[in-house]
Amino acid sequence: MFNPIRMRAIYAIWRREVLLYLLDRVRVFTSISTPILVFLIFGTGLKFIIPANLLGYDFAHFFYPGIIAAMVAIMAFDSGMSIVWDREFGFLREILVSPISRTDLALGKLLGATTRCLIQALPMLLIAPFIGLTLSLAKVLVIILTIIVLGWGLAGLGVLISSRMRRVESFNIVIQILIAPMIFLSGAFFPTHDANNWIKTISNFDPLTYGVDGLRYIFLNSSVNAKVLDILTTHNFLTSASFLLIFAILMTFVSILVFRKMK
Amino acid sequence: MVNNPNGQKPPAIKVENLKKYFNDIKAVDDVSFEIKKGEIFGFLGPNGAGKTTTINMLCTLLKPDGGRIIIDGFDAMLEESKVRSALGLVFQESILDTHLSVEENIYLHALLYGLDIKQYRKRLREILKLVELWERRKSLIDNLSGGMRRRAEIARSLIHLPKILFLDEPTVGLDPQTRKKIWDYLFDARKETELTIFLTTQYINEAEDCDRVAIIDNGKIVALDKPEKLKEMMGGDVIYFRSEDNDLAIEEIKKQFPLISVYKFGKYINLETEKGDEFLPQLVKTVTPRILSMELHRPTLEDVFLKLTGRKIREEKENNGD
Repeated sequence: MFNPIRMRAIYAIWRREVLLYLLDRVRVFTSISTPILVFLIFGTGLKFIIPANLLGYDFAHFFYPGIIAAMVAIMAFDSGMSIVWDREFGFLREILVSPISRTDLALGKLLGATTRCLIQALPMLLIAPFIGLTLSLAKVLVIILTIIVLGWGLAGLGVLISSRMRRVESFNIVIQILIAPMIFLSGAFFPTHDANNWIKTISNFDPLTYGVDGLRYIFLNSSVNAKVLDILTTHNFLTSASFLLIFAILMTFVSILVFRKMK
Repeated sequence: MVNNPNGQKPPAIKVENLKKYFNDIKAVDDVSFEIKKGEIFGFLGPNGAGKTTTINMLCTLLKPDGGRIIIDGFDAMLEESKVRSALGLVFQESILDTHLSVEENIYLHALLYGLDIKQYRKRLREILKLVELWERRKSLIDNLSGGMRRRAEIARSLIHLPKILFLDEPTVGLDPQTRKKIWDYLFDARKETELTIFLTTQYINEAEDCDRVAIIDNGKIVALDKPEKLKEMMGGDVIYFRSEDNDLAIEEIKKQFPLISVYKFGKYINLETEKGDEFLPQLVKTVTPRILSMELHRPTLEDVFLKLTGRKIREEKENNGD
């Protein structure tokens, strides 16, 4: 496993993923600032419309973990699906004809996507103290782990979808058709706990639901009482974490298969 | 490793009865050849002759429907990754990452091919100096001209010290000056190491610079030899001419000079003869229909191709039939 040549190859794929993101300054800026803006505008705006005493909890507390999960989902998907662009511009061929094994290629790709998610999501954590959420070091570590597992799995799903796509034109359509329902059904923006049965049923199949629940649990478990937390999440932390882990492992194998079949 | 009973230096590439079919089309039809180490070997043929299909099979991108490929002693179908490490590839279309710099593209390539950082640093300078891109190493590929991109691509393909370099129409779309420069780099690179170069081309003068040339048409190799030897297939000089009645002219020539090879090609008559300059006046005297145009030259591979296949390599409109 830890042979230097394989490590170098995985590093190459990872490095390119991260570089392409970081070199695009505008993208880095907007991808980090947009969720912060959305949070400030929606979070504080809605807070005044729906006061905490009516809701029983602070809306900003509910909204904050949701938006982090949503931004991780968008970034992970986007990174996983970037294969479609690589194919269009030819670079995919450079990778496919190199001696690197397809397993390492998949691992590098998912690592890169996950790193992008972290780069984008970590600045968001600086907001926490301002809305009255205290983060211990242990909490931050669990949050990072959750983001990694969530981003990893969804990037794998992105890889799977991109393997079914031949044309770059369909990229944005697929993103919109999949991402929007995925985010709305996950409970990121409104609680699905008391929603219709059909929404609940679908949301159980939405991997992001578990990401939202997991993050919400870690962020809020020491600031909000257990009863409220129960209303705000659909699944408990153990269920969420297990689902995300199994999903990530499954998607790792799926991505490896996708890359093995790729020509 | 494939055993070599005679103990002699194994060939760089050995291809036996290679076949590839796309539905009913025989893209590569029972092709066999051997390329020595350090040789520059050219595949000359028109578009759609099967050149790219062959290259794709040789560099393990495409599974053959039959036959065997041995590259640097390894079976291309069984030891894919070992074969890939030994190859440098430059495809028809650019596969650089245009958002990254020249240096970054080459660095990624070095990592993918398992080069360590010390080797990489040393090679990078050498190779970028060779293709005259050292000063531009920080430039994004996006900001380079077509010729520079090609050179960057060649530099990248050489960074990991490949044993065999595959070039699929490396100079298509480049101006003659750039084309010449790229050739100079390749010859330099070959001098430096025992690099074997396999290239496909539809340019005659490029093929004539190769050590050996295989002429390929409709998926088959129709001739394979040194360019000089191939040209010797033509009987001396080549005369092209056009008259008002080609059929009559041919009849007259055959009657008067039975030993001379003469055949029709589109609107032209092709003639092979020794001492063409002395033959021209006799020809003019013999042919009674009015002569419209006439040309005499030393044989080129184009003439060889024409003779073997009855077609030009790069078909021009006016030659498409009578």
